[in-house]
Amino acid sequence: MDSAGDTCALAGAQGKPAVYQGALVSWTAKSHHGSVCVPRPLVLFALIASAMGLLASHFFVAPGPQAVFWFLPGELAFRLLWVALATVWLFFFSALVWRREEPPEEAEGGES
Amino acid sequence: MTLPFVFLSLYVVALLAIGVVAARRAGRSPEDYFLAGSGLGSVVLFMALFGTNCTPFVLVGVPGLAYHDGLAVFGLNVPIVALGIPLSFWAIGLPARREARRLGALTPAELYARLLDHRGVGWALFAVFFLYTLPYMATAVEGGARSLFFASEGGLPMVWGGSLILGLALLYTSLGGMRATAWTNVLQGALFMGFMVAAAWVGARAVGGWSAVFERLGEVDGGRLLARPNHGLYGGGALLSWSLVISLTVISFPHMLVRLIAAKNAPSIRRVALLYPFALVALWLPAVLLGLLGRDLFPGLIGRESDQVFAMISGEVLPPTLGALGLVAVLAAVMSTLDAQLLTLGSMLSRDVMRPASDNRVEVRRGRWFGLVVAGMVFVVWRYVPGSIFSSAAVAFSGYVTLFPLLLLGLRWQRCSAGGALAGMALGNLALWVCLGLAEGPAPAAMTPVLGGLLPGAFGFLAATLGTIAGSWLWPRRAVSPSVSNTLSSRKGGPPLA
Repeated sequence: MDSAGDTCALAGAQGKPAVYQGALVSWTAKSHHGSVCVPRPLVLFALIASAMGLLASHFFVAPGPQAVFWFLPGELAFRLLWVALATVWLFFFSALVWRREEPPEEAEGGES
Repeated sequence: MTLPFVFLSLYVVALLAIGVVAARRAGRSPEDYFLAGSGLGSVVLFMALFGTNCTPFVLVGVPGLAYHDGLAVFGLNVPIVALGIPLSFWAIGLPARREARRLGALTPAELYARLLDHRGVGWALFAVFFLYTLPYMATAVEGGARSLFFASEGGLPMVWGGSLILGLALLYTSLGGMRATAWTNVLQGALFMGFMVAAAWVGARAVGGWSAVFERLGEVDGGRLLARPNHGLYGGGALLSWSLVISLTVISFPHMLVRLIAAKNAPSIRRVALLYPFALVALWLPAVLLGLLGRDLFPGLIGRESDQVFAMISGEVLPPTLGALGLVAVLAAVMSTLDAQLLTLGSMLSRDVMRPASDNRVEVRRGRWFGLVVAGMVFVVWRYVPGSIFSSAAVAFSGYVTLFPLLLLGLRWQRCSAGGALAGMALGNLALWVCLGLAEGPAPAAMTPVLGGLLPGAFGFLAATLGTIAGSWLWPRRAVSPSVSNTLSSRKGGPPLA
């Protein structure tokens, strides 16, 4: 599945990792699903860079006590925003990386 | 005093009923008893993981800390674990479940012994898990016993309260195994999370709402309680190493890892990971806000007196019915962790230390007996080994982190060997305990920076990582001899180790 090293973003988000035979394709190339595909290194770079940015802001940004949003103090508003951004990041990570590791036969597994 | 004990009685009846139903649904195989038949779907898996993860420390200890340190307590813990825990589910939980199924392993120690083809790895892993889990369990019993003691106004002595908690958790766990603990975690998680959200909402409304509370607290010490300081745990190397410890320790709890192994399918783990940040905020934010509310309403508490904030708000601010639920919420948090720990340590004693049983029923029965043995050991540690709740938990968290490199590399690095695993565990724990010995100051040793502003846990983690990598290079994986392979795979369901 990972041999070609490409990720079809749209298809990946639908639980159908794209498989390409051959070398990297341009991120403007179209897959046979008709969706835009991004080279896997670029996807990984974007994910890692955004995670580093998130972590850096966690360690180095410390807002003051002033209310910045309605009555929320800056510190609390910033941390809640941070968690929201981390959740968005996790969503992309799960769609672009995580799902590729799941066994295909379990992709639509049931609940209990 | 009556109402909390009415709720408590209803709660006990509900737990026992769930245990009985789970016992009727359970099969007779060890996989069914120890892993609920590897059938935990997304909802139950989520509640089982979250209930197990959250201890009375969040309900009682976090408000106490926030009373002194303010909103910074939220920023110190929640953001980094909201990212770290889901990622660790992917990095370790996902392949652990896959490999456990392939190898027929039912416990984390058994999984790594089979993966690395060395029983010694399983024994060493079991020993380290045991070393840190027993005191951690004792802290939970202590927290629950104290709550019962105060709620009964001294009528229920600590020793009886703790025994009641241990006995009840053991009873329903023994009845239904993992299925009982997972189902009860759904009830327990809903109880303590619902209570915390309601308490923060209703409590603040009673004093004019959160905007008024923040306004008043903004005038205390120049708004110190509403911002993050840059000293102590909140800045420099201490912040970095605490973030490392708190985000990596959860997956290293054996009782968490075994639940991921019990997931019904791989997508369940992913769905749980995406829900996790929301649940963390839903629980931690009310806990921190209750601490701030306590500071606003009851100023002047010194040191650990602030741990009473939870009880004070439950008893004096909340309406009686809601306040009475506070006791049940704390006990729910205690037992949701304790039951999973009892089951996991019992299963490891049964499958990793003892020789495999020839009969499924014998293996399950042995798991039950070992649960009783573990409960007895927890009681002894709780009653006779000195150490405060806070320092014991902090040491346990730091100790678990020394296992993270092995748990990760054992699954995701093909060159990881048994020699590397043993070297990593030995070096990591050696470094941790040396650093704990070097720590000086009023704070618990595990929370005291030692060298370069870093906490002992960071050194334990670094040494364990180096030890695992270096050991794997020095003592590479050996070819599997037929005798070892046969010995290890003779356990039921286990394929050859080669």
